[in-house]
Amino acid sequence: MIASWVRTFVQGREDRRPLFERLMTESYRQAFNMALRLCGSSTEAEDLVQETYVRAYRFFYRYDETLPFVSWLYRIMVNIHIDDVRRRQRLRTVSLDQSTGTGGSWEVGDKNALADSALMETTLEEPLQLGLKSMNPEFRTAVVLADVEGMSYEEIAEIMDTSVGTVRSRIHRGRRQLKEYLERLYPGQYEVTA
Amino acid sequence: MNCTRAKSLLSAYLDRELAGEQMLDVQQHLRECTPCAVEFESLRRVKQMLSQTPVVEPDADLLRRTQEAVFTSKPAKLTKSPAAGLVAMASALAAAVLAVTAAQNTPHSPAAVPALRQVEAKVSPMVVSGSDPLGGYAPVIPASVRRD
Repeated sequence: MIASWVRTFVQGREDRRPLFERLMTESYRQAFNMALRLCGSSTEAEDLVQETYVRAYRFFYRYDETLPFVSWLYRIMVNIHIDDVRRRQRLRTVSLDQSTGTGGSWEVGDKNALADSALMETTLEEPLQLGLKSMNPEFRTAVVLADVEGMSYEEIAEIMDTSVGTVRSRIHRGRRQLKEYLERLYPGQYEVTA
Repeated sequence: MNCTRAKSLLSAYLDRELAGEQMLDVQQHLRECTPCAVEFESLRRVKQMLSQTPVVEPDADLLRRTQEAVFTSKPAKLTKSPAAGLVAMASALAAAVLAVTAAQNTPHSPAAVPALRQVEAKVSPMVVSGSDPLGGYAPVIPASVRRD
């Protein structure tokens, strides 16, 4: 019984493969730009895009064709991104704890390596992108969806699986963080006076 | 409307995500309060800068590489947690146990009962020792064993 269910499931997925391929071809540029805004570098953005589509295809049977594909895709992407950032933060905490606990030495970054990697990939180093990167992932995601993608609070709430009130708060706090970051690091350039 | 309340609504006002009455209240407050108007203008600039970010063309090979990753990846490889596999195995086992239990609880059809009684009487004389609590019918005692 389980085997026949798996066969039906796989067959159903294969039947919808042309549709998925078409949707992927239509949306991958937009998905890449969204990922780029979330991650800040093209290498990380490409990884995020690939993982998003792999997961989207795996769960494609859940996709309702009457709804916008990009919103459904973003929901997956946002989940992957937020999970990834949280996991990295945990790893970083563990690695710092271990280093101080065992008396191990700190690793010193190779400046030349950084310069090389910067040459090799499109890194959005402009102040705005640095400001976005300094925010927590929930605020960053809400702000990018609202201001770069131009989505409504209701659409963002759907994508982030939360309430409109929470979206409103995240966008407001996110923009304020970004504003304060720009004013602090680039005084005079971004400051608005009366 | 006071400044604390107005400031908390500035982004929603900027995005036109407030109800009509609140929109008018914030608008009125911004006309009268310079610090809030400055705050609103700086938020508006942030939004404007973000909305004007240039579209970046992805690597020419990205679509092909993504298609390859999507259509050649096997579900087993995508399962990051070994716990997911254990859960799937436990579910399959539970389903099998339920199926067996249900089969044992299902009474035999009336047409099949006489034939079954004969078979049981021939194969297993132990059937005379008591009734089968899962069988749903009375035990048959073979004539060769009966003392009456």
